[in-house]
Amino acid sequence: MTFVIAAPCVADYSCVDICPVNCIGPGPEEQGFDDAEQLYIDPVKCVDCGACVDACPVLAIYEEASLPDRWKHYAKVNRDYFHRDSVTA
Amino acid sequence: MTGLRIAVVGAGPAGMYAIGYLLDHGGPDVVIDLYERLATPWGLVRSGVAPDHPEKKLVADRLFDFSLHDSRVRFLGNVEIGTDISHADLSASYHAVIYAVGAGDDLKMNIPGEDLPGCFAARSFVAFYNGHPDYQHLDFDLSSERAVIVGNGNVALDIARILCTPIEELARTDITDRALEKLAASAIREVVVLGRRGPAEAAYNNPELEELGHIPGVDIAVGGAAMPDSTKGCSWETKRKLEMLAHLAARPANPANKRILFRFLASPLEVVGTDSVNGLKIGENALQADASGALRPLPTGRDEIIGTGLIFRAIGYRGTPFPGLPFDDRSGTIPNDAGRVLGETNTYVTGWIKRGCRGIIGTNRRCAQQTVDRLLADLGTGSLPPLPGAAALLPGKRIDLAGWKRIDRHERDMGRRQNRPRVKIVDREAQLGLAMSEPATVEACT
Amino acid sequence: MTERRYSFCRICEPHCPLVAEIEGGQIAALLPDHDHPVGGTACHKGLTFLDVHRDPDRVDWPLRRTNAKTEPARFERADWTMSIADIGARLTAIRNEHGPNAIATYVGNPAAFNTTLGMSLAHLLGTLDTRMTFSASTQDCTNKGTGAWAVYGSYGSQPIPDIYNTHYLLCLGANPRVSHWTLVATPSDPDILRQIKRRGGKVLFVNPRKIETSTEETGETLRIIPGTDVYFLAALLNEIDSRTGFANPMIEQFGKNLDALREFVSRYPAERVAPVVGVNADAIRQVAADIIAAPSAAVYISIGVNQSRQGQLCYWLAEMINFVTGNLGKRGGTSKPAGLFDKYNIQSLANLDTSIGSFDIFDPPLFPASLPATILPELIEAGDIKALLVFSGNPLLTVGGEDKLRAAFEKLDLLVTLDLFRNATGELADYVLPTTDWLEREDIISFSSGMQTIPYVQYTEALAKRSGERRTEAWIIAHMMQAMDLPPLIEPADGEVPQDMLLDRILAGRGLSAEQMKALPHQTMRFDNVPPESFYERCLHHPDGKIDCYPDIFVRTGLIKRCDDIFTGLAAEAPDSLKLVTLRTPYMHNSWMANVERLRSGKHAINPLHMCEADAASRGLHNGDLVRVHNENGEVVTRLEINNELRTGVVAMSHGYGHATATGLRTGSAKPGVNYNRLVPTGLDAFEPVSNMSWMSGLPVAVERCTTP
Repeated sequence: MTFVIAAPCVADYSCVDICPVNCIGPGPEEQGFDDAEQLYIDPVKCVDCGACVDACPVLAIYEEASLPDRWKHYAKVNRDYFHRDSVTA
Repeated sequence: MTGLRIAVVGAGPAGMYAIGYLLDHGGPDVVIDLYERLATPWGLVRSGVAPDHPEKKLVADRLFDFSLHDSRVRFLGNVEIGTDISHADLSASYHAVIYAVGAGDDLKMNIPGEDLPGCFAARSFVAFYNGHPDYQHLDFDLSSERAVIVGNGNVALDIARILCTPIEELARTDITDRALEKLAASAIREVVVLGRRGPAEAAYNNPELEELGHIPGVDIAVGGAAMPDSTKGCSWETKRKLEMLAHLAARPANPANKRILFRFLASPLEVVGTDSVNGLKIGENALQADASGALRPLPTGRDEIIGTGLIFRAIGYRGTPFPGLPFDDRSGTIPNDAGRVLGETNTYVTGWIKRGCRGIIGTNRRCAQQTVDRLLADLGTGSLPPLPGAAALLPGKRIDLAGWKRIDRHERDMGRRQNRPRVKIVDREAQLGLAMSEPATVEACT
Repeated sequence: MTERRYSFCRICEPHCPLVAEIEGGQIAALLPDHDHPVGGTACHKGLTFLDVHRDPDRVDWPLRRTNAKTEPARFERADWTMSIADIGARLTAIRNEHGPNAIATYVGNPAAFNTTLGMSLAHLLGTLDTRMTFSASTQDCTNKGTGAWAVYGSYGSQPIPDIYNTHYLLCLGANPRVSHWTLVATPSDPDILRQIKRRGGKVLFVNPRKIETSTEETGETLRIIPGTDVYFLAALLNEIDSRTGFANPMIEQFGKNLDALREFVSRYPAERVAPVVGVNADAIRQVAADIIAAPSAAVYISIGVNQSRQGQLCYWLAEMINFVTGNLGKRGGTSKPAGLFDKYNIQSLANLDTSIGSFDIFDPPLFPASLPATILPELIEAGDIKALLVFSGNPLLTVGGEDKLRAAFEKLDLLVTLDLFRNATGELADYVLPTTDWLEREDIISFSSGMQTIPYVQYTEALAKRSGERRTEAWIIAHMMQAMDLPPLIEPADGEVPQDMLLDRILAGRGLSAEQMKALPHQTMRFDNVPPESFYERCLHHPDGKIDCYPDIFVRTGLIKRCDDIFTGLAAEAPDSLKLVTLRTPYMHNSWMANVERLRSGKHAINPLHMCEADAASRGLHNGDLVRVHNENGEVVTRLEINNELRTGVVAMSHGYGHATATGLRTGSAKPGVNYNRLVPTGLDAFEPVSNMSWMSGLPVAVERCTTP
């Protein structure tokens, strides 16, 4: 299980700051941050601690199973982001 | 460092992020005066973010408002730097001044007829329906069956969505009552979203595109360019957009529905009309790679006229010159080095006026950190000399935190009665009247 | 060159496995140990503890106060030898002049995760022969130990729910997603609760707020009025009795005083309690029916209930449900797992006479059971206590009544804090002695022994070199005792007190040693668990070997009458009254966490008052308003946050804030928030008999708006 960042994300990286395993990207120091549509959680690295949820100023982060219907697919979007090169190819 | 006194100009996300970072890193006794031209803070979070995006507006309640209430921050609303107080006076009163004034202008199409009534800047409409007091005099005629939006960025899609969303859904948001009235009477059945290049080059982001699929009673159609056969070579984000657009366009259409038509590979050539807009002449483009490999639109010579009474140009915002500061007319920014204004000693910029109009709300956080880091490095360590502050310069008509809270609570009170987040006070005099009314006594309410 | 070393977290019960990357004798990274044989994944609190380890505000050498306690503190660096000698001499003088009870101790929650501190402290208390022991436990959980003592005959006879196998879990006042369970140690894995539903079982949370743990995948929250759980539990028992009777065949052999229990719960039928607990009678009956129908079931209560004035009786009734439905000592029910040791202290209560009254305390003294913390200031003011030793605690803020405590602490002849930081209590101390954090010392998992769903022990080496002149509490206590001419637990050799030598004494119970543990993969040894039915053989320690279903001490101490009286009071309360509960968040744990910048960033810089929209609307309040929260005990002013997870009539605020005066915590004092405990009752009548628990949650409060400052 993992947490997932959904559509409301505004790329305020409070989540990146509090994440203990550095599983959220792109972080402010990463290339691509300035043009990021949103931030994403790597489900492979996420330890399911939930610290990011209330740190998010726009409450964009959900437990995967609790994603609202209209954002259910963001679980895949978050996952795919971390394989975007192979997804694209 | 101790004794730091800072002026921040502009209470939008750029300014609020700078303040948040300064509070944590500017020394324990930092004092920040926050100057805002309007009586209300939050900049585009209040007047730009679409009313049907309440989650995004949470950033004010859940983050910025905590800084605004910090005892080291003083809100000075309804004070315009450059008019009420000059830049020179301001910079002499603080150890540093940070301009976070955003982008006050937008890019023109530079085509004939652009100034005809019925052709508007997108930002005017956005500011109108979001209750910005400077835009309430505008009159948008929604009696045409078709509206055309030139440009296909997120602002274009916000407008398309607002024009097509069922009125009862909008009535639950903090959209202004006047905009609601207008939209309730709207005759618009189709919104054409015009893009110079193809679907793979579209400027909107994925979440904004996806959202169009959630509006009840709206079909999505694509015109002007076939969808590319392959997404090979596209970035991951672009591939998602292409797949989503294809998915949305493939849904069965319903003639009773409204329609959002994406018209790609088309540039505006002329706004047609005599007294007011009655059409937009567009020219078809073909994409051709330039020397750098980037795809550029080239006119094919074919053109047509789209009949419409309402045109919004949404091809980008742009900063405006600030009295007393240098300006780079090409980029629409104040030239700076990592936030420090070139040729100035203690003047800094952050946000759109620093880096140009790109990025989303949180992009400003990194931008502000860079500026504040530069500022703190410039000022060095140790205790700073005391400064007079700007108290003597302040106009009497300023709005303090208590004043803004009176406006804010009043809006929320009215919103609560209508089951809406707030009902905005949009008239500047009314805002000032509320803000300057006597402080309420402590209400017993247990 | 990076070296990887296995260890475990020491913040809460699961002791989550960790792996540290060591470079140049320092910890470069702290990560979850995904390969640990028992499992569980560390959360941000444990992984962020590296921030505590590296915090520049840590105390690195002894600090001695140079001015009066009533003045803003001035401390100077002191030498260990001189400090120990001075403290030893002053303690000896106090003991000689006023007797052993003039020396009091207060132990904070981290002591539970510090094996050699626990051992050394027990030895110190026994040798000093003081009964003046206080701890954080009377603010969170002593009711469970004293309840086990009253019902089963030993403080240690606390069964835990078999969450891996149960078909029905009734979970009151707990939020495991955030707390990671309390007095239950299970690998930290949110999936364990999800599996209950997946295998056809059910979880029901009972809380005034829909908690983070409660999701579609786990189970619903029944939103109860705080402080009324005892009546809810009584109604369940009454309903069970009327449906099936108390049907456990073990009752005949092990039960006693069943009729008195029956009589008690018959006073609280579902219809009668419904309006007081805020849950309708049908819903209460349904819970009883579900428990009866489930192939196995477990009732578990925790902090939210413990702190709500009647935790003692709640624990008793929860245990009674488990017993009378046949779920005690059963797979999928509750039982007492195997541990490092299977030792059950048999205590009796003895009176401690003081100049402010007589109080019940276990004899011999038993850590963590302790005197009510609510009477600490009174005992100091009355002159009974002259010296206070505080071990990783911050009683000034964590016990109710900050102003009263401050005034009392200022009058102490000697206040010594042993801590990582100079916290708000340390600010009033004569000495602040620097201790090691858990990354700097050897340890074993001992506190969770006997409460682990998967029994095991792990050993850890010290992962990092100690900075400055930090010392273990075992070292400090041993040297302090030497300075008092008292025999330490082990004689320091060359000034050192080897941790392993002490740990070996515990490990020996299982025929293990630190040396042996070091050779095991992940330094971990799993134990075979015992069958759940063995609870009846191992854990019943009343002289008659029975389970006391209506302990006389509840009557004798007035608990039962108090329960009836409180019901009458609650039934008569105004319908629009507000109750304050404590809101646990993932951003706060104890005073050590108050200085961690990334846990105090953004909105978590303060602790707002949470209130639901309906309550806010009826009071004309809005999100972001500044509100005054007050009751007869005190007041705080904070920000209002609308939170619709709360039921109406309930407001919530987080503990662990209010460090404004702790100049030794630069982040904590710059972002202080407010001290919840200013609203907590204090004094002689403020604690629950038998458990000595403070009343921390479910407090009546009034809320009004302050105009913006």
